[in-house]
Amino acid sequence: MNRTGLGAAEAIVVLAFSFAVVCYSLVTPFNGAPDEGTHFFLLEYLYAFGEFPRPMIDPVTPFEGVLTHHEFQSSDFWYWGLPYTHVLGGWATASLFAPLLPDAFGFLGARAFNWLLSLPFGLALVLLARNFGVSRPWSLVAAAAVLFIPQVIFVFSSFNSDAFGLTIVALSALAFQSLERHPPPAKLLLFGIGCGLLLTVKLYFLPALIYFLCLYCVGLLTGTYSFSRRGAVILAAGIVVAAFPILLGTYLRFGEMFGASGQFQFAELHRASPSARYGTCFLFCGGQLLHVDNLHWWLSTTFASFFAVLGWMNILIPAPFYEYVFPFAAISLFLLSVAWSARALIMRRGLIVAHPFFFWAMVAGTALMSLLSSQTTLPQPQGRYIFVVVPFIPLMIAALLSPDRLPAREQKG
Amino acid sequence: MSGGRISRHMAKLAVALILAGNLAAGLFGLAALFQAQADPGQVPVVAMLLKASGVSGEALSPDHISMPVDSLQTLDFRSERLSGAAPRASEPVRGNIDEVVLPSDSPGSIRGWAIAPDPPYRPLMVLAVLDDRVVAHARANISRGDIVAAFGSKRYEWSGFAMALPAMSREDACRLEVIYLMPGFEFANGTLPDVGCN
Repeated sequence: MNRTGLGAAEAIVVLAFSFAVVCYSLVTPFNGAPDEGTHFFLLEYLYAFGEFPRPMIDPVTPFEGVLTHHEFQSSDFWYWGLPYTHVLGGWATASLFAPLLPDAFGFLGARAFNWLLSLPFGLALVLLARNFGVSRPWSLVAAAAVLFIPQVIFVFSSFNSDAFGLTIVALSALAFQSLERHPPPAKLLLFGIGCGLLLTVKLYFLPALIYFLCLYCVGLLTGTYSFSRRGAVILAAGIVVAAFPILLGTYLRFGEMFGASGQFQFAELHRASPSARYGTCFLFCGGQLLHVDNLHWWLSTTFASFFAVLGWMNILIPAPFYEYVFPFAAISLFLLSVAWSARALIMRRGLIVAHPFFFWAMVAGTALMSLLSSQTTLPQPQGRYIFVVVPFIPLMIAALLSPDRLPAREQKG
Repeated sequence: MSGGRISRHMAKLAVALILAGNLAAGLFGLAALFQAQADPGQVPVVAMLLKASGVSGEALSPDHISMPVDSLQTLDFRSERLSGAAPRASEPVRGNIDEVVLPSDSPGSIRGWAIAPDPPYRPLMVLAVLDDRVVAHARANISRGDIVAAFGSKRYEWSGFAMALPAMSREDACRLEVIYLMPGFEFANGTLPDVGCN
C-alpha cells in the first residue's frame, strides 16, 4: 500500500462507519431527527408531482406522501429559496430503492442517499489524516475518533442537507490537501468544483472556504502553495461549473438563493413559542458584557449536542460521557495543540503550524456566529451548527500526532 | 524522552479516549434510539433529559401554573372545547386534562391530551410535580381518535397521556402541579383547569 492508498484496514473503518449509519437509520422512525419531515415535504412533493412546490402556495390541498405516508398540510412550513441538491439525491435513491421496500418504509430509500454519502465522507477523513504523514494505525484512529462521534453517525442516518454539506467539505479539504506547489489542472478543477458545491450547501458550511483561503495565504508565505493566473482561471471555472447551474435553478424557481425569506418566516412563526427561547440574550445584555447563566446554558447544550444528543435533541446518552469524558478529551486536545503549536513555531515547521491554529479559530468563530444567530434570530443551540469543523478534526489530530519532520510535500519547499 | 514525544503520546491518549468514548456512547445512542422506536407514539424520552433540564432536585421554571385541587373524587371535565383549529407555530401547546382521580384510598391518576404546533406535534412528556419534585410522569403516546377527528389531522393521533399518581395526603394532592416538556431542553407551562379544590 502506498502512502495515500487504501488497504483493508481503511476499508474496514469506512464500512464500519457506514454500517453504524445504517443501524442508526433503521432504529430512527420517520421524522425522528430534526426537520426531517420538512426535508421530506420537498422530496414527497417532487416524488408525487415531478416539480418543487411554490412558496406560500403549495400544497394547495393536503396530500399524503408516498414514501412516508405522512400527511402534509397546506399550512406546513418549509424552507424555500435554498439549493436542494440533497433532495435531488434523495429523490434519486428513493426512486431506485423505495419500490423494493415494504410499504411503510419507503422513507429509507431517501435516507439511502446519506448512507451512500457516508462512504466518500469516511474515506475522505481517513485519507485526510493519512496524507498528513501520520503512521497508518494512528491515522485510522484519528479518522475513526471523528467518524464515530454519535452525532456524526446520526446526521448521516436521517434525511437532511447536513450530510451532503459535510461530505462536500471533507472532499474539498481532501482536494485542497492535494494542491502542491504546482498542482495539475485536474486537481485544481476538482478543488474548484468542491468550492462551487460548497456555495450550494447551508450557509454555516461556508467557514470552510475561509479556512481554505487562510491556509492558502499562509501556504503562499511558507512556499507550500503558489499562485498562477492559469491556476486561478481553472479554479474559477470549477466553481462556476458546479455552483452556477444549481444557484441559477434555485433563483429562477424561488427568486433567491440562500433561503433568507424562509429563515425570517421561521423566526417569525416561532417568536411566541415558549420552547424557542426567542430573544434570549447572551452578549451585551443590559449593560452586561456576558449573561453568564444564558451563556452557560448555550455552551453546555451546544457542546452536548455536538457529540451525542440524538433525536429531536431529546435522546441523551448517559451524562458522564458529555459531562466528563468528552470535555476532558476536548480540553486535553486544545491544551496539547497550544503546546504543540508553540513548539512547532520554535522549530519553524512551516505550514503545518497553521492547521491547529486555524482549526481552533474556526471552532471559536463558528461558535460565536451561532451564538449571535441564537440571540438575534432563532436558531437554538445545536452542535450541528458548528459541524463544519468536523472534517478538519482529523487534520488537527494528525498535526499533533505527526513526527517532527515535515510532511513530504512541505519538504519540497 | 523528548517534549515532542511526550506531547505525541498524550495526544494519542486523548484521541484514543475520544474514540473509546464515542464507541461506547454510540452503542448507548443506538440503544436509546431503539428504545424510542418501541414507543407507539414515537416520542422518545429518556430520564436523563429530566436531569439535564433541572427537574430533579432543582427549581422548576417559574412560569408553570399551579393546579388547585380540592376534591377527592373522580372528576370529569373538559374546559376546552375541541375545535378544528390546529395550533400555529406561534401558539403554545394546546391540551386538556380530561380526568383527575385524586389519590386517596385508591391510586390516583391524571388523564388528558396535548398537541403542539411543531413536530413531533405533542409534548415529549407530561409531569406531575409536588414541591419541585417529579412525582409522576407520562409520555404523550396514547392514540386519540377524537383528537384526530376534532383537528382533522392524523399527526395528532398520539396525543393522549395518562399517568398514575402515587399515594399522597390530601394536602399534598392539592399542591400538585402539572407541566409538560417540550423538545430542546425547554419547559413550557400547561394550562390546567380548576377542578374545584377551593
